[in-house]
Amino acid sequence: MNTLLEVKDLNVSFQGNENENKTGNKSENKNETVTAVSCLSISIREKETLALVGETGCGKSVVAHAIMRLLPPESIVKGTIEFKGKNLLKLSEKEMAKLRGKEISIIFQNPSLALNPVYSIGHQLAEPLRIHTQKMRWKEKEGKKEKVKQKEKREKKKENSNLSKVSRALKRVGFSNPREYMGYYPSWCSGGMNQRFLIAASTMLDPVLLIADEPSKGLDRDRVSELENELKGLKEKSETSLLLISHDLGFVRRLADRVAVMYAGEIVEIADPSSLFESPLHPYTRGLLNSLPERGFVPIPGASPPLSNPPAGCRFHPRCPIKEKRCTQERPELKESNGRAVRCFLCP
Amino acid sequence: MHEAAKKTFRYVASFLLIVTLNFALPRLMPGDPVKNLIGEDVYVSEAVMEELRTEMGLNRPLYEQFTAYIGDLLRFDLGYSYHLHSPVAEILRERIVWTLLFVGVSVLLGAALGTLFGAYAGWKPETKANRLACCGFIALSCTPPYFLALLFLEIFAFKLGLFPFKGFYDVPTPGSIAHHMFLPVTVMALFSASRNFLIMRGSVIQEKGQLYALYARAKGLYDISILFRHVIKNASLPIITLLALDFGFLFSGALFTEIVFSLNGMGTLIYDAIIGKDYPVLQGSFLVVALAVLLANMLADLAYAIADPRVRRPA
Ligand SMILES: Nc1ncnc2c1ncn2[C@@H]1O[C@H](COP(=O)(O)OP(=O)(O)OP(=O)(O)O)[C@@H](O)[C@H]1O
Ligand code: SF4
Ligand SMILES: [Mg+2]
Repeated sequence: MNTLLEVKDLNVSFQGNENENKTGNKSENKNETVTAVSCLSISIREKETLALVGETGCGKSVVAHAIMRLLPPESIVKGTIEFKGKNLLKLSEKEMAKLRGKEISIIFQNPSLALNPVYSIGHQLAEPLRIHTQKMRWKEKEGKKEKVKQKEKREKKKENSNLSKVSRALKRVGFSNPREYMGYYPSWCSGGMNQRFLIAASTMLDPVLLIADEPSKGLDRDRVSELENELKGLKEKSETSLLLISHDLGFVRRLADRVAVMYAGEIVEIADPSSLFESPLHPYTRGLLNSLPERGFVPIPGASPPLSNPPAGCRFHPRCPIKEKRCTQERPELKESNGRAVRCFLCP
Repeated sequence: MHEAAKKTFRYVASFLLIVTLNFALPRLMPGDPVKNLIGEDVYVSEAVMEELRTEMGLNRPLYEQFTAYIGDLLRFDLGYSYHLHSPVAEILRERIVWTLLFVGVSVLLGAALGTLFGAYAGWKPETKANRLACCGFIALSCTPPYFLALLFLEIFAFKLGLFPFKGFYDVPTPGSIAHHMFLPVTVMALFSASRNFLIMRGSVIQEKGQLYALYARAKGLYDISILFRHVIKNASLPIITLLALDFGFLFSGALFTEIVFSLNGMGTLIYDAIIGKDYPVLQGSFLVVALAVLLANMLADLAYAIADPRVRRPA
């Protein structure tokens, strides 16, 4: 299968000034550069689901936003992000805008804040349709000059068909009476409902690549399995590739084709879910799995290092139970062998 | 609904308070209430004074006076100006039309200009033009409107002779009215715009950092359309509140401007009434201005409820 997205040596750093610190990490001083992602390479093939897991603050959302070029201006992004053979980092903002929402969609981590408080759900969900069909209409208009009345009529028809598309999308994510919810506003709805609105909005245009940042957060168990079916169906029907970011390892295991484990801005292990969950190689992955409730709830000792000043050598060494001397001095590379990749001196 | 009931109660209470104050003030002021009610500078003989005292019922008990006063109000009878020799209600009706026209046009213009320029300045605050505009509007907002009015009058009316320097019109045609109103409206609109500009600029700078603006970008919206389709509506909510709060302030500014340009509206009316100690006119003006401010606040409340769905969450 062809590679759809190829991220090579991605480095993202934030020129630390003022209070831009999202996590409120106090150890990060002012005027420090935070390197949120370093030397990250991942690839997603067509129709593939790649999951990205890791502790909070390890840079998962930053990767997602970097791919869509949504990072704030104070960020410095290096490396290449190739999507369908084009380097997204070289595209103009206008060309990028054409891809966003149509070819690459994202479900944000915080749905209640991602929706605009003063517009109705229906209006906001129809927006991607409006944005990405306008350009075509533009061309037609230039071709033959229509009469105003005809145009109005068509526009109305278009709006109606948009609304019925929205209502179908809402039905798919489990709203039995979508027309009613389309008149609602985000503040009238729960976080879980807003999450499902975002999912509907992002999947409506059948994107080639869907980035889902914690899509199962805030949903109860029934909704999670509904979401799972929805995402599975999306992949089968419309050949969408999925970059799935989640804390819910069970959810990841059921959906992903490959799983990438991130620690402190780096990929430490990539493997298919069954081998990763049954025989994890990297000490961090093992620790992560051991901290699951069903495996004894054993937390990894210590805390993740500050990204403004990561430890020398292997970034995991202060917390690693099997570290050696060289781990504190040399940096391990990501080594690939029979379909898996690990960043550790002691792993094959 | 509960919230609405509370609000209605608050408005009714303020209304009653205004009406009561208006009743109490002339009677509490030092000196003879008759003098206070007809104006100090009016010359009348002792006998006429006594006659007036009985006519106005000032020798009757207070509650009777109050009910009579309320009855008069309900009939739009605000008393009689012995200076201008005509009923106060009639004078006010004639003058307020002009002031409302003047203030209304300036406030609307100022709101529109200030909001648009402020929004753009907040969207791209780092460009040179926007920085310059920001400095300019800060300077404007610090300048008292009457000073600006004097400046404009000096430059455009006296020095350049482009505009007339007094009155609303020579002949009451729209052209003449516009010609006469141009300078005062420009002054007031600039003043009002400067305040809206600064609020809007700050509001847009804050709102564009919200996640919904980023999500709008993620949907494929491009640059300025994010401002117009998503940010501007959120950012202009504070403007609604500001307009209401500012109404009284703008109104007083407008009164000073009227005086500078010798416009025959409420401003000059109140000014003349103060000079001539014409209390009935002052009292009536106070009532009308207070009610106008109350009404503006009410409208703002309503507009806010329409614009912000968070206020009208269904039960
Ligand atoms: N705009 C920014 N300026 C400075 N630092 C930032 C910025 N955005 C993110 N960071 C830093 O990047 C790091 C990674 O953040 P990110 O949001 O990607 O974490 P995450 O893995 O998504 O965590 P979570 O699971 O909580 O969502 C954090 O330590 C944060 O401090
Ligand atoms: S490289 Fe060393 S410190 Fe790092 S994970 Fe492997 S053993 Fe632990
Ligand atoms: Mg995140």
